[in-house]
Amino acid sequence: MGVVLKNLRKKLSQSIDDIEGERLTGRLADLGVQPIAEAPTRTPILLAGEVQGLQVVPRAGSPSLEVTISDGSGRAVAVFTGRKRLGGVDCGRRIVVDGVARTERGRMVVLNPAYTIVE
Amino acid sequence: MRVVIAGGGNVGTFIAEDLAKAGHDVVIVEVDADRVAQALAQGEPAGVEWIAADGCEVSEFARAGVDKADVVAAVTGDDEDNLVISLLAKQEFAVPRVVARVNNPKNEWMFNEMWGVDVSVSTPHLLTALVEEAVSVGSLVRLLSFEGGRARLSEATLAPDSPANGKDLAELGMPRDSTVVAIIREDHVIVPRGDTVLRGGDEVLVLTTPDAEDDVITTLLG
Repeated sequence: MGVVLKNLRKKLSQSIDDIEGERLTGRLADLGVQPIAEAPTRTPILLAGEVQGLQVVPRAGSPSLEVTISDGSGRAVAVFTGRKRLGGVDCGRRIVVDGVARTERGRMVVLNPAYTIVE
Repeated sequence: MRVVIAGGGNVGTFIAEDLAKAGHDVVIVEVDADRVAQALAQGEPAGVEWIAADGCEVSEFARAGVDKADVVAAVTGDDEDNLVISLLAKQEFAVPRVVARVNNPKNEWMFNEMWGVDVSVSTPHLLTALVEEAVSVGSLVRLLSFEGGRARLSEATLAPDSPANGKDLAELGMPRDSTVVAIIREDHVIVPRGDTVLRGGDEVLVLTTPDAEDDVITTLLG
């Protein structure tokens, strides 16, 4: 009974961000990929996350698709130049991207990574 | 800073020498092994590391330590190669600053962010701008582009019948998104102020966005 009450109290008092973070961490744990917040830049890496936003942004006069992924520890943006959509990459999907990250205006950006749709 | 230069021809060697003298850590990647051997035998330029590798090939390019480079300069004599090298530098090695040389001005439109190029340098364009600037009166000559073409430094030599003659800058009312940065009159540089009066023969240097350019021409040249 004590444990149940403790969990209930935790659920009620926790911030929405924390709950969301825990949900994402749990959802991505089985992939065994390092957290986005700890991922190094400028070296080939794997990042896993839930797709939380899709945006078509003009870059140098051509469209590029920016896919924001989050794993609870942080966010990263995968930029696909010359694309307006990618089949199967929609909000809520889990994907793994494979590329080299850099920091651009405070965001972690991976340019044209290879990607795998997990579910 | 660590600088990787792709292309060990005249341009690459010259830039490498200059940068090495300025105290930077410079590596030249050159595909022609004979050229590398020749350069190493002569020991020139001093303090520059040479690597015989194809910059268009990821695994070979990586041998030059591109993943640690602050700047990559793609200055081969071939525009296709320069584009491939720029894209690889940005995409595979996330190099913060990529500079590329444009050999044929017809290809300049491709040297932008899409191909990983941060700054493009086109020698023919620079030369035509300088020649134009030397011979033209009564037209606007583009000297330099900044910020990926979002701002330009242009020059106009005022003809004797220019509508701007005899007016001060406040009265002239330069269009929005443009400003006069300097006036050159008889070998003197005049710092522009609201009460500076323009005369025929003045060289006016204007900083402008591409959209404001037409209005600048109307205002200064009629």
